[in-house]
Amino acid sequence: MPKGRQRLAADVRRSIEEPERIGKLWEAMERGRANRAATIEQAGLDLPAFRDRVRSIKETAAQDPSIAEAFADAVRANGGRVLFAATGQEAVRYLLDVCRAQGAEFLVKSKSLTSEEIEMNQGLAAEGIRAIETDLGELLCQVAGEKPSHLVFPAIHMTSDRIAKMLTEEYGEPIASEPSSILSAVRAKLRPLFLAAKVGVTGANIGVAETGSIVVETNEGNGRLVTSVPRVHVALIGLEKIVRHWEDAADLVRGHAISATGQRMTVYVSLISHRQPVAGDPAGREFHVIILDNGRTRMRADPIFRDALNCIRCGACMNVCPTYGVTGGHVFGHIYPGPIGIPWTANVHGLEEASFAHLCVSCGLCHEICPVDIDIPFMIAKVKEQDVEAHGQPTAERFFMASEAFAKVACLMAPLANGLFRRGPARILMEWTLGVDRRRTLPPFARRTLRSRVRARGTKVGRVGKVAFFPDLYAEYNNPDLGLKAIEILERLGYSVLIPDVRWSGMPYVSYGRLGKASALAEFNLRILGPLVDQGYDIVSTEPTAVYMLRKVYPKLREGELATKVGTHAFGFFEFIERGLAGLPLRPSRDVAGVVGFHIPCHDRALTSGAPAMRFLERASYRVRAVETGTCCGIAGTFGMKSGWLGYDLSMAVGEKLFEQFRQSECNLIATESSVCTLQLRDGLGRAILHPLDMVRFEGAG
Amino acid sequence: MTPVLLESILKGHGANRVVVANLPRELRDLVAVALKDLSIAFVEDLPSEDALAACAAADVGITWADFAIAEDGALGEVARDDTARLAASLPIVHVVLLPAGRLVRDVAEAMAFAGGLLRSSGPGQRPTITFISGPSRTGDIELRLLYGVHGPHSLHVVLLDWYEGR
Ligand code: SF4
Ligand code: SF4
Repeated sequence: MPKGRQRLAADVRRSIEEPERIGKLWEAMERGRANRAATIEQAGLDLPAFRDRVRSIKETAAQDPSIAEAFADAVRANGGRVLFAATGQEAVRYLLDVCRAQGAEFLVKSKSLTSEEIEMNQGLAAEGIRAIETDLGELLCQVAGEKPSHLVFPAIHMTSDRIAKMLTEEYGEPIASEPSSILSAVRAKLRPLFLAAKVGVTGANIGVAETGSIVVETNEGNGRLVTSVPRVHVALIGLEKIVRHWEDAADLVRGHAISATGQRMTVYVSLISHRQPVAGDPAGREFHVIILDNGRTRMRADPIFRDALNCIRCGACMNVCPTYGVTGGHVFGHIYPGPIGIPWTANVHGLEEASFAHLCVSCGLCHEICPVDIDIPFMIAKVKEQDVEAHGQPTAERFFMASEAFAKVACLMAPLANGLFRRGPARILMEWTLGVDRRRTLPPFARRTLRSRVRARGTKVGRVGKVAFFPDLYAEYNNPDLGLKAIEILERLGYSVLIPDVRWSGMPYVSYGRLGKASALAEFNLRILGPLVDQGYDIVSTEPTAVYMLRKVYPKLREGELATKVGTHAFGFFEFIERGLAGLPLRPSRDVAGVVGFHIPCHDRALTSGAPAMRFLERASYRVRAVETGTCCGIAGTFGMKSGWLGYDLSMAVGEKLFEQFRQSECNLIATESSVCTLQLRDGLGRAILHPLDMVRFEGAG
Repeated sequence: MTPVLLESILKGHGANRVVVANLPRELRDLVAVALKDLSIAFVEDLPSEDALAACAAADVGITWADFAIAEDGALGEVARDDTARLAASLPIVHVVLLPAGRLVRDVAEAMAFAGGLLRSSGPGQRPTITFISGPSRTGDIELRLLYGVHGPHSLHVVLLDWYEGR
């Protein structure tokens, strides 16, 4: 295994074995998600429209260099000074000069991720100037000598006991671990520093070119003090954060707060254009703005990574990321943590620091929740690609990328293969040689594939429409009965069905960073599906991941008309049949007393969130309830089949939260659509997991 | 009514030293009368070098909001002198006077309004505008919601229905 990953595996192990290392992270994530959802609902926000607006504002801001120039001119016209810093060192050097000119030995800071990006505190310290963090979470990290573990709650990994002990030592006076005592102690300690500070440094959430202003958002009010007490205020802003007009800033102010903490707006939103006098005296009040590039212009030119510049740093993506939730920002992050931290780290801190990319299991949830519709998973796939090209690929990943060929062979020798895969020495061997975890149940292979059975059975001609059924691996090689049942229902609803000569959908190529192969496969499948769509076919699959690939990923891999066309004609099975269902009398084939707990597969969250499948079951007289943690079950395709800490163990640790929900839900049946989620739930719960199609009969059929 | 109300708020906090800033001229007398028993400083009138110390020593700051954002329960503070922000941020109690009729609907309107004000003020003459939607707060220790970390622990808003604003 490549070195970077070995280190990563050790870190993952530590996070799982010592869950106190990440403290209340999971709770913070859950709360963040719940608050966000509640506020969106309460504010009556039209989310898709809001996303479109924010995206178009940010795209303009990130791509048009003339905006930063206009901003700089306006700042100067207001009497401020501007530095365009190409690198972090330049920014730090400028700041040093400012401090020296003021005779300042220290400065006070409000929270600024950008200052962390350029490791400003360290740069200043090396020259004898102390940068004092005043945001409580940042301050705690600074005292502990640790990096922030979450964008919004930097010290979420620390317990109050630990904080009290640490501050008692730092301040040399006893502090009780009651949070309010900690707070009073910090307030008392920082106040004289605020009052004596000559220089205050802030980041800026937004820059507004038309008036040369910045927007600083804080909850604690430290930003107010940092920008009013000291004689000099220096603001550090990434050049992608500058918009042209005030009207553009409104949606961003809304977006930051809602997505970050579920607040409608942060407590203090300050619109600052220059210094104000104090009691009428303007003497010595200086305003400086450092506009930071540090790799951003390069990112701007990159067709894939430019998307990262659209980030508004709200933290919503880390609140859904399943593996971040188990490992925390110290493992799942370098300086920038979480999903969006991966492309940022690779671009501003280098590929060597970005090996945590391999913790991403490609569930797609971060893209789904992002208020700017940033395709984070695709950028991560690109980082993985760069990493495997530089550092090599583990055997298990190569094996799973060959799943299709393997499935073909396994089907040919099905009874034997299934016997071997169940348990025992063959699995140990498989673990040693292929890196497939011996503890993971693998789905048995069928003796005859779906295609051969459909050929033998023949198909019917229907008049309602035409369907190209996309089986993907599971329905083709593992569970052709499922595929047949789906086809039968489609035929009963009046569709002519054929199975096109497509290959599999190929998710592992994306998950494991082989975008070239993914792209070639997409091209192959699209060339077959495109003409079918032209002939009036819709593409339907029982595998959520296949639909996700067709709709969301192929258009990204093969930009152009063909992929878009195919994508808009690709549907999940239940979504597709829903309209015609009235004519199909469904009967339950299982006990309907009690409740069905339904697990929504991640890849379906971006599509239908499981709603049509749940309605399908309800139509068959079941009572259905989604049981969820709001994130992934943990298996994430083949990730949880890989052996060890960067596979099975991490996957089960993620899954544990969901298993617990199921255990407490007291549902008597458990259903889901995805083939791999089924494996995960079965391994985690030791119970039978059903596909909705296994739970119904219809009149006149088996 | 207003003087009585102010007095009772300050009594409730056991206030001794009060700083006042950014008030329209005609309201100054009213505040002075209401608080005649306390040590009260109008910070803008102090020598510049004493303003900071006065605010730091006070336990209550009384300031002015030009408008408020209805849907979000936020105040719009327009400061052309930093004594306004010092008096609002340093004391542990913040009392804001707000003309009741000056409401905008939501953040979008507030930003449009603020943007208009900033544009029309001209280079170097722009106010510092702050939307304030509560007392200083943090969730950084174990997600527990706590007030008063750096700025005020308590925020009182006194709505003036008899005064239109400056
Ligand atoms: S795709 Fe899923 S696992 Fe990967 S970074 Fe996004 S949320 Fe995390
Ligand atoms: S990538 Fe999207 S969700 Fe994540 S912090 Fe940035 S804006 Fe928020």
